[in-house]
Amino acid sequence: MSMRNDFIDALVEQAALDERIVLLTADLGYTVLEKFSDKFPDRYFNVGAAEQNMLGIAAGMTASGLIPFVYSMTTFVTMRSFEFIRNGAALHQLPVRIIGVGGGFDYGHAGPTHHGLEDIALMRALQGVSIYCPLSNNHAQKLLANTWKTDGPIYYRISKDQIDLPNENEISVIPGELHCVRKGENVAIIGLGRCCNEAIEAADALREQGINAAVYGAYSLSPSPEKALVEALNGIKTCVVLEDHSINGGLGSLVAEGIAENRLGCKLIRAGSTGTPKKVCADYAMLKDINKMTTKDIVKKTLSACNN
Amino acid sequence: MTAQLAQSIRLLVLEHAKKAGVGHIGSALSIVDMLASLFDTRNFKTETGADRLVLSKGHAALALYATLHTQGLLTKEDLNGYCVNGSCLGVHPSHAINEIPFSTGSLGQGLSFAVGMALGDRVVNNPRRTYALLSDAECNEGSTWEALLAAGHHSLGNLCALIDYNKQQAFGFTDDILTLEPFADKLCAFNWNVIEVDGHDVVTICQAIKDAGTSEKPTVIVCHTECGKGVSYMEKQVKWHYWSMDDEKYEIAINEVSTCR
Repeated sequence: MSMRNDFIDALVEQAALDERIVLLTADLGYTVLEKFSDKFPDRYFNVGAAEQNMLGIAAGMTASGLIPFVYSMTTFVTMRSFEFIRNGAALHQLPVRIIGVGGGFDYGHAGPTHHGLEDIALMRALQGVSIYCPLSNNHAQKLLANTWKTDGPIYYRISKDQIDLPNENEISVIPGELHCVRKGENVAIIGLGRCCNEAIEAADALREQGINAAVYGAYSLSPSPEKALVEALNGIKTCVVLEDHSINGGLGSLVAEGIAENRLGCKLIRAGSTGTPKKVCADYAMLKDINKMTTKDIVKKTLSACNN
Repeated sequence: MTAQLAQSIRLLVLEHAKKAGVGHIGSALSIVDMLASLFDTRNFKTETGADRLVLSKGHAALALYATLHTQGLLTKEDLNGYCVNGSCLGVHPSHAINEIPFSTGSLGQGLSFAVGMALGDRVVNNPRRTYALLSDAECNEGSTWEALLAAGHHSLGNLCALIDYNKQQAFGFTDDILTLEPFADKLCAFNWNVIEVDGHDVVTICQAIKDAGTSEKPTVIVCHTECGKGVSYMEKQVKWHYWSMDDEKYEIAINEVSTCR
């Protein structure tokens, strides 16, 4: 079961408890949203392939006391409709919930127009928009339940795929926190959302090289996990950030700001999408390879940083 | 009665545009009769059940502020703050004011907000009505047509849009820049109830607003207007989209509007 299915299951549960919830889609979510539309036909609207209008309608609906969730692919829902989010939900601080499905390389084979590599940077640029990237399916469900009472807008970046994490039942969902998978020495690896799994893999590989790296999952981009970062990077000499997003404006940038503003004095390696836009369609694994984000790449970069 | 209200609003628009030394006077004067008709016909005071108005044509906010003042919803002191540092009365409307549900001014956004308000009211069974006042230039924006499609599809009879069809936009005339014609036919084809009126004939506009309430479709009232209406040297002059008045021009304008029946 994909993360998006589990998230919508949780939304259906929440909607049964709260009549204010409505769901809008810009004509995406076939075989995913029927669970909601079958149960709450009067609270479900397919507004057509018109994302900017969807975000405008959602803002308007809050004026009737509703809590609209809008659903589309990460790229369309944040990028096509950006100014509507800015002037609507963000400017007026409205309880609009934006569900972006398939961040990063999730839709790799769909080609570069469908790679969600700038969504977090855009949403981070807006003040007063909460941003959550669940670490796993189970975590996505818990995030929805635990961020329920947030007043302003929320952006949920949900994976298209099924993502499981070891001991995921124990993962907390505290806004502004990092999830600590394990403590370590000298090196810390922080993975964004689904990349938490890859951070664990890289740390396991480094362990074979005699490096005991700490591992964290980042799921709350706003509120910023700055305080948690300061604690996590205390005594750390090399920090690696792994994200299926452009290195501009995403988690790597957030960590760089945290390191600089708090004078943490640790070297930062940002592993994410770099360079000019790629002209390829490829699966998640190959796109990671192209962007030098594989476990092998991380180990190499980390060892090089440790030896310099 | 409504014509007198319109005259009062025009005088306030001129007074405060002069005081602030800012433009957009032509646009504001263009919609005065539409606003006077709306406020004489419907109740927009923020109370449960009151109707709601989105001024999507945000750059004409001065006309809305002046109208709110005539209704006792903004004080003269508030109005004197127009475009003064620290005031919430800027060139474009702000939701800092109770009767303004959404800050607008970026063209082509207000109708989407209004569609959401009307659709939301349907979900929660609230019988109030939503009004949106648009400029013709906003109909250059694709988002306006997305909103028109959505309202038509959902048969939002509780939504009424008034379009200020003064046939001018920032750089010139709509027919030269991006023609909307055949405008009424397009709106009709988008499944709206279309009413065309002289946008300065308040009796006709008021009747159209009343008639809109009986339609099961959303209603659009295409108001044929003149930019700068009421001031002879501003009418149909593109430059008055941006220009401000000097003392002499101000005297002429006040005189013309005051003596107009």
